[in-house]
Amino acid sequence: MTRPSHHAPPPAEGSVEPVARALLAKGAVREGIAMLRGAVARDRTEQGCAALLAQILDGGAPDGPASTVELDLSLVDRWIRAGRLVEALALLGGTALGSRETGREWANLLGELLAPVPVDAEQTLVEMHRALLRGGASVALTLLEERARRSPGLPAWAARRLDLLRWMLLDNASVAEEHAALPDEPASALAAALRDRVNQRDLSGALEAARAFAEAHGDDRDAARTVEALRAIEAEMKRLAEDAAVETHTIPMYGHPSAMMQIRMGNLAEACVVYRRLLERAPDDERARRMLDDVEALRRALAGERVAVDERPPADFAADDEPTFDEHVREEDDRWGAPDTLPERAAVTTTVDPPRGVDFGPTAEITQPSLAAERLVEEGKLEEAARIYEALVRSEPERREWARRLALLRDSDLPEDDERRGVLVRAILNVK
Amino acid sequence: MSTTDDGTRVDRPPAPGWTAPPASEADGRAPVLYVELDDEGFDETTARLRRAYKLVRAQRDREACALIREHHRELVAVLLDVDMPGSVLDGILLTRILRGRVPSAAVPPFARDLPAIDVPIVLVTERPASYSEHEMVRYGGDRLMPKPLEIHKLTLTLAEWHLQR
Repeated sequence: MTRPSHHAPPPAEGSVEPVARALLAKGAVREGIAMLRGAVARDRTEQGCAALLAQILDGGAPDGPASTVELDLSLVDRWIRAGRLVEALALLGGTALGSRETGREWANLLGELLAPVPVDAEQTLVEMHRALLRGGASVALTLLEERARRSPGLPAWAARRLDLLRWMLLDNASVAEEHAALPDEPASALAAALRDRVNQRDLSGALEAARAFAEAHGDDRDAARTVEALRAIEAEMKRLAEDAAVETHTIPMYGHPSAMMQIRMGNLAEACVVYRRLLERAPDDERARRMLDDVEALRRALAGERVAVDERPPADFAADDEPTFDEHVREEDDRWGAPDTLPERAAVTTTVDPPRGVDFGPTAEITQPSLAAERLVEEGKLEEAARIYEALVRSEPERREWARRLALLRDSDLPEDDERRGVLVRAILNVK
Repeated sequence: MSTTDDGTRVDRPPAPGWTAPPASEADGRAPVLYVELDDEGFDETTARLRRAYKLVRAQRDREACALIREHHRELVAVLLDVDMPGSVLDGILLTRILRGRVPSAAVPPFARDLPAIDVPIVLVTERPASYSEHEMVRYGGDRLMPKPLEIHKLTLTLAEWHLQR
């Protein structure tokens, strides 16, 4: 029996460090520093960037070989698709790319998209901005889309940012991060049949192509399994869209919607990371397990690998040369930091660690519980909210709003009568 | 696949394009204080920044201090002309005052006891070669930028500032 591969996520779209070095060599020091800050904030495994940033801030000149990386708009384009928006903006601002027609337009649009939100913006929009700056473009888009379905509607500036973000990440995009890693030549006839449709994020088209291929190759079990996987993915997408239409007041971006957003963006590997996280939190989540199997199957089809395998590993499927699921989870925790400072409830119900290179790294565990805490306050569950704020303040003591809310909760002795609790809730949420 | 003006092949459809910025004063864009005497310069900067920023204008130092008192809670950045013609204070001195680096006795009465503002201060000039950004940072500024300001350069500066928080 062949075991499923459970691919580790592919390496991100090249390191930022050589690009930053090239910027610094051109004399664009401030843009180089901003690029490095963006990279480090997005992904703490960018250790080269962190070291280079420290060196520059200490007043030193960058050491090491001169960078020969080519700086062009296609790199900017790839970075935008990968959610590296700060780095893309720094690249445009630090080179002549941002002074010509297309690059200038992109720079201005990024300048608008990443601009600070008003200080009195609602918490969801503050989190959206925070995610955008830290490589969490997919999270930001999900937040905006979910918020747009609620009433009252988005303020004009936020609706505009939703349009911009959709354009940058979704609309007609055809070269997603994941697909750029595919070989130039399709590795199999089945991969060739699927490739263009999947690259265009046209899952229905891919399903039709797979069906046609399967009909023409009646004994091809890989094609049949691919049809099954695509059908399941499409059904899940429709189901989530219907859920969102009905549940217009849900906590956004967690779990399955987050994974589906990755699929919509064409980031299949990142979707798998999210599903693995869901399984880590809730091993009985059969829906996540099935989706992981289906997305993995699609990835194998695109890579020209065997698809029609027994997808379900036995409990003891570990082999010497491949990490077990638990080992893989621990490896990911080492990479991102396990959310061990957070209360169990927050971890179980609300956190999904960020997909590599797309979400916003180590702060993801913090940012998402902050929304959960706010929701708990809205629901009057102040004791639970206090526990989360305590963990959040321990993690990021400089976040004054969290500290303020925690102080209010602590100072109040958590009153039991509804009226006083209501007053406290309004004070915490700044509701006049 | 299309070819851009610099010859790079990229696969991206046309951008959504500019939409008219919200006309209402209460549109929710982030407010930025800009101290600029010159009408033409202010208008040009406004045109460049207005998609994301609502510029609150002061022409001189007294007006700037009054606006800081009025709007300090909502400002996301302060833009100061380095020279600030027609004012007692120049941009550098006002920066130092805003950062609390000038003894109260040395501050003109209209600029005393200004509320603390924890936002980036960008000094702008028509003569960037005449000033050192390093010096501006030493005085408490965050960036020195040439006029007219570009939206993407301002946003990158503010983004970097936020990432350090």
